[in-house]
Amino acid sequence: MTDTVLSLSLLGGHLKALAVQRGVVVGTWQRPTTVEDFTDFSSVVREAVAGTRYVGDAVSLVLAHPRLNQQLVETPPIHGFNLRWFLERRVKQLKTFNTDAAWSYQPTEPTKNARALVLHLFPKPFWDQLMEGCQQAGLHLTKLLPATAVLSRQLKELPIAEDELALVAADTGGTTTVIIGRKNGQVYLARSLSNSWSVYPDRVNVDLNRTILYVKQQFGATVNSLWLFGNVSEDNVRAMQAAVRVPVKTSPVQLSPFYWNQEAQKVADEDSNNLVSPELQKAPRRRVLLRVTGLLIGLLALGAVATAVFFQALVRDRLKQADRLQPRAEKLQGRKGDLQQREVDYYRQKEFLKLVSEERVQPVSGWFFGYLGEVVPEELLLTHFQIKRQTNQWTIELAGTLQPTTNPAPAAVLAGAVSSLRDRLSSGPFHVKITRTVGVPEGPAATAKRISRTVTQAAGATGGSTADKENRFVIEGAMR
Amino acid sequence: MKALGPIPPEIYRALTVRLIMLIVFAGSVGLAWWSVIQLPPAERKLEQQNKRIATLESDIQFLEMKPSPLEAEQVAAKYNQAQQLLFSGLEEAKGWEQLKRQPNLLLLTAEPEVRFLGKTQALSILSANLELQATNSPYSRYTNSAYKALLDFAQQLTSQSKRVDLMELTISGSSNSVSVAKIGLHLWTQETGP
Repeated sequence: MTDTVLSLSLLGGHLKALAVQRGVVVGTWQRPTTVEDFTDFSSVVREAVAGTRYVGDAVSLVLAHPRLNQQLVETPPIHGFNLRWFLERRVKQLKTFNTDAAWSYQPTEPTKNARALVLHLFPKPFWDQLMEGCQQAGLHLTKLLPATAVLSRQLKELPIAEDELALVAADTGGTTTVIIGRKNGQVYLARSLSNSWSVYPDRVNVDLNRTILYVKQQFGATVNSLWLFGNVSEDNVRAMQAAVRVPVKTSPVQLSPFYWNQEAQKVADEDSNNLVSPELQKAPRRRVLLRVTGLLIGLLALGAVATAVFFQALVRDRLKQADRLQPRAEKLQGRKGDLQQREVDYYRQKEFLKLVSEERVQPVSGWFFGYLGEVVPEELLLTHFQIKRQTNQWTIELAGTLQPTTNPAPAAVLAGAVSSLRDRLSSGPFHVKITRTVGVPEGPAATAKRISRTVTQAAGATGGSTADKENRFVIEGAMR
Repeated sequence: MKALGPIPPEIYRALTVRLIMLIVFAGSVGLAWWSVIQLPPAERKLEQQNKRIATLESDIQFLEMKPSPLEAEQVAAKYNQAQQLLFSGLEEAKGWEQLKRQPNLLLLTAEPEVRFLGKTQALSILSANLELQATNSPYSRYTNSAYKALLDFAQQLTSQSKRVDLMELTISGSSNSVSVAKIGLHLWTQETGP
């Protein structure tokens, strides 16, 4: 329910307006002439706004119109969207006009067969005209109620028992709005009769009887009383009482000039009788939210674009800096390559120099050969000399014989000479390490026989006569 | 109870607008996100470039110091000189005149055989074996002149301008002089060999 609303009632073309500001009635207005159609409904609304000095946005409208009619519909036990789809199909089947229908419904007591509801059907073009009329007047129609929805509230105010079934008939300006229900507000049937008892009482009486009978047939319930609401005279009551078989009474509810407008305020916007869907009710708020959201998103988009531009500028700057450094890096890389090559060349050259110049093999062979001429004792005759470079050392091999001698102990002479040669080689400048000697005694007490045998073996290796063999010697050694 | 009624086209228009707004929103967020995530790689690239340059400069500084230019120049000069000590190849070694020279009082019994012995780094070593025999002259047989001639010959071989190593010397003699001498030489060449 809205605290601030322009509440309109349009019953049989008679339009009344009630302006409510924050729950307080601030103005009322009644149109002097009837509203014949809705083609210029915006003007009517503007008049009502001006007449009531209404300042607000929301509009509600209670409508009793010949084209707004009701149908009792039995439904399967379904809810929500399923019920909605079911009703949409039923609306297409039940509508009595060619155009699309705007519709709402009022739940009723179950019939004998199934669950039921009263479907309110209203031509969609009229509905559009009402909505657009309010919109053109700068207002928003939040509630469009059939008069039955408002009248059903009167059931609770009737002086009837809880189990009694009452029929309330209201004069709604050339039409009669009928509601049948119990005191607890539970409705059995709601409908609009196209005549008023003040104009065509007989037709109304016939319709009321048919309605009572229809309720008996459909629900198995008997209407216990009939209450008239609106412009009712004693004559009307008497005439009706004569035509219908249930007690006819006048409703205890007082008909104020703006009864319908005031009662409509008590019906919630979300009531299922409302011909304005919840989506449309919230359309203004949604539009505002949409605008705010749109604005925020627009700002966000601008912010995103600005962020993108800013970061792209940063990215380009970084990449440009990196690109600017690339030639320098390449130049440095080239310089490093040159220096590395220089280093490689340097070490290669050093290695080369070491190999060619520093590690040169000295002509030790010649030196040693020359040296031999000085150190070989006169008693010895050198017949074989070999010096050879092996790995990191020189190996030498000397062989020879004893010079012819008159000494009666040539072996001793040989041993002495060889020993002398060996000592000279060892202690001389070449520091020869003697590895094998044949022809030298092993100690002072060595026997001549042993010496003779060893020399004989050496002589056997080099050939020669027996005497020669006995006087031969061999020295082997190594030096660095 | 909820009211039921027809949903006008406005609702669908609103849905379309919302969808567009959602797309704009998602696009905006995506654009911002895309632009932000592009920065770290660019920063990294610049940082790597700076680091690379700093490393290169450091390396260059180190390489410039070691070896010093003066030292490198000296080594290069010595290297050029040392190259002169080497034979250019097998052919030059074969044609080396010292291998064909007949020393006094000694005869080359055969043409010296020169062959590749092995490689060491960029150099090759050739081996050459010379066999000398003392002449039959009585003068040479009974004096030590052959001995001296051989000494002179060996000294000459190793005191040439080329790198020649006297690796082996084998001498056989009789009572007073040299009869046969074998000389093993290593000749160094720049040719890398077969």
